[in-house]
Amino acid sequence: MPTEKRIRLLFILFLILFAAILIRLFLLQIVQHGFFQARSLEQRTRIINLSANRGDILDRNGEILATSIDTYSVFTQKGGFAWVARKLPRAEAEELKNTEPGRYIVLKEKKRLYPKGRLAAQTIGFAGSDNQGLSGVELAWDKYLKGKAGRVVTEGDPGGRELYGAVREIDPSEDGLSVTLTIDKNIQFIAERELEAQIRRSSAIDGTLIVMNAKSGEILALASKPDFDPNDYKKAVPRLWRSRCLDPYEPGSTFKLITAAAGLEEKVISLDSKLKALDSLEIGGRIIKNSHPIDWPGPTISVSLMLEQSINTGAVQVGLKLGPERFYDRIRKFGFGERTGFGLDGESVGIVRHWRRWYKPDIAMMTFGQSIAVTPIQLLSAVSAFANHGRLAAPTLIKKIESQDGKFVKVFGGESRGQAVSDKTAAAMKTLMRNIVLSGSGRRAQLKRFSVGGKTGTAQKSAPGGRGYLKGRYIASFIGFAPLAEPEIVVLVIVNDPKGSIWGESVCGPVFKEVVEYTLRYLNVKPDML
Amino acid sequence: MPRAKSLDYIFLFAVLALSAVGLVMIFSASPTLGIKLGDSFYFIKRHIFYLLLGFLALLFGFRLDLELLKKRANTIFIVAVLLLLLVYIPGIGRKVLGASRWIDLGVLVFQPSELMKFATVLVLAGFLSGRKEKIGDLFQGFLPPIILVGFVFALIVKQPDLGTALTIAVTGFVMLFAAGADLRHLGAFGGLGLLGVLALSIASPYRLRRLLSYLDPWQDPQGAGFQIIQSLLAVGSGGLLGLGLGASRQKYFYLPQQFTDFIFAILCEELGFIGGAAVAGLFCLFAARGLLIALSAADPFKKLLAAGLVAWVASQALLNIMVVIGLVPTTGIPLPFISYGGTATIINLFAVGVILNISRKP
Repeated sequence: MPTEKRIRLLFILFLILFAAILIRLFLLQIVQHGFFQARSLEQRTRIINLSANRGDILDRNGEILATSIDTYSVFTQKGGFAWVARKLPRAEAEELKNTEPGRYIVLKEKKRLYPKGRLAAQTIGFAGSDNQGLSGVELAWDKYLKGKAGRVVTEGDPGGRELYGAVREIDPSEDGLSVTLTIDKNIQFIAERELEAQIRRSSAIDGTLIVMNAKSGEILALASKPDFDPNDYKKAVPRLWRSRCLDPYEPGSTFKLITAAAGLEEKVISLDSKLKALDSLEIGGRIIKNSHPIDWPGPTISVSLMLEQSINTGAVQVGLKLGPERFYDRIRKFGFGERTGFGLDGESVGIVRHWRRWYKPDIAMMTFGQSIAVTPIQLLSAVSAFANHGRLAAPTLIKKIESQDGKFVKVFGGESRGQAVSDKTAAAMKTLMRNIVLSGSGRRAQLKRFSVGGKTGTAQKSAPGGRGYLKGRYIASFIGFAPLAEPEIVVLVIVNDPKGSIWGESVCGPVFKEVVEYTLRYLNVKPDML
Repeated sequence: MPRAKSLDYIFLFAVLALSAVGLVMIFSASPTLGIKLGDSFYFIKRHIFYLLLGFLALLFGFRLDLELLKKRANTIFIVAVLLLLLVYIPGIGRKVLGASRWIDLGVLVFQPSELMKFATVLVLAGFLSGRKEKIGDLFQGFLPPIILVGFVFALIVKQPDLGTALTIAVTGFVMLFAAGADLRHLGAFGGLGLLGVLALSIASPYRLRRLLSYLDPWQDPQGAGFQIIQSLLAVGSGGLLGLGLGASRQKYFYLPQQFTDFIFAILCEELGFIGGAAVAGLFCLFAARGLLIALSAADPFKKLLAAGLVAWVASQALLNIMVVIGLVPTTGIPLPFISYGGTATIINLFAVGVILNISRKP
């Protein structure tokens, strides 16, 4: 019967198709199993990044200088991921999201905030939008501030929800440490205000003002003007991001302090030594003159007068008595030519050539701070030795770092960079610096209730790139400490390229005076003069 | 001479086993969507209800007077056609994702094309058993059933529901073959039919994309190839033993229709090659025992009716599985006894009842 035969044929056809299904299942599930398993795993694997909270930057009294706040960013996934707006306040983000329901997604993101604006801008620096330090302390201490981002590897559905019973791998994030600076925001504020005012008065290019604890080396204020607002750092010229205190400059006459101290320490001069009164002298074919006419008291002058009147020819005589090797060794003992490591990246070592590579006039030039370049921080550290029984304070910007839960704390400071000169030389230098302020070029830095020691500097600006100096262009500076007996602070003021009056005394002396006066009162230092 | 036999328990076992597998798999695969509707048991509860109705329908089919059924064949077919037209009437028909396939009955959504499968088999069995001698004749034996099937096919393709229409066409074709139609007619018409399906596929850009994605799904993994790729990922990642019952990953909205047309993929993912092969084997057993019932039926109508019903369910199962494992282009048809669905579950079990009826009274 044909029907029966055909039904049997039909069954055979079914069997063939059944066999085809089995073969196909075998290929998919056994032979190609690994391929499909990997593809399936790949498409459902979700990596959720856990951002670490960046540590705050605080001033020495715990005032917040940099912190991170919650902001709300809006993105869309229609037609691929795209940011719509980033880091808005919550209300704005919600409003934007509601303009097109279902299209926008709001995501919480941290944003770096600098509540004090421009205050200590170059010192604090700034972090980029992905929690990476880009400048200042934010960059130099990024390793501690940023913490460790974590992540969760899990399984999700196409809508981004985690699967029920998903296999999770968690690598937790670790919050960054907070960094407490030695900066005092109030001293910083006054330092910036006074410096800025002077730069404006002198129509100068820029300036630096540093207040440092004479003993501990803690930097209480580190001002660098002009500056920028780190909340809006992209709007500023990148040149302004860098603190001026990192860069070397020719210190000019302030360096005569080093020359005198070296002479005293090496005993080539004493406080009673007499130097020849010379309007000029010639070294290796170069004529060295004084920067201003001197009213000579006689054929000879004292070491003190050389400093009071800032007489180049006198300083040169001290240098020649020392000779290159001893002079060089002393310069190095004061820490010039090496980084202080005070806490910011990009610190220059300065330019201190080895004495064997000096040209003949170099030794003379160096005695009054030309042909040598130092950073403001190096100079502060060196001068702190006179305030500190010959011991170099190690400048530091960082007081401590600690975990946000307070469980881990590391305190910095208290180190020394070594003994630069003897206690006796340091004491003699204090007297000499006192004389400069009492009756020399430092008179504008005198305070009513505190005894001050200091030295002016009016350096010729070196021409960029080559040798030689720019005519009529100067860097005015003043460095000093107070109160004299046990100096509390060392302060350096530098104004670059003042117009009109160009002298360290007139340009920087008054600024020094204002800042020292404020700081000593603020620190409740007992006045030593009545 | 018809003589009373006991019903075919092995056949019944295959059906019960497949239904049980279906319930378990819906239990595993549907809560992901159910939760979104506020009740993770949403589809499970409904499927249990459908199964209960289905077994009532099975009992009904089992008790049914087949002579009466044969007499009422034309009436049933006309009713089925009318119901198929009802889906287009607003307020009665329900349109989902652009397809008019359903009639809303309140508690239950009725899908007339499922009834149409049964009605077509019934009317063809009646016609072909009544014209046994003229079956070889093109005009009197071969063409009338072809025209009838073509008409049904057109009605259902219009919804559009190519999968169901193809199932009916294949079933009709198989019945003509079983009834002893001329192989040349069958060959010629089968060729024409294939060309027709190809033409239909190319005519609609949506179907053409599906056809192309069948040839190389990885060309457009997020678009046309998405469904089949996700299905293959499910099947392939099952391996030999599967991820374990309930452990499917693809059911979390990677594989659409995870408990309806593509439930077999989730089954393969969770139960592996062993589970997939076992289910295929159960369908094989269903076909073998079902065709044996057809063979042992003495009455030509019952013989063709049994063969037709078995051919329908078996070809639908084969087609569904071959779609899921990428052997044929994607077309949406449910896997009998296993996929979630109201009308299909009830009608399939009713058909099983009729086949068991025949097994007892061949």
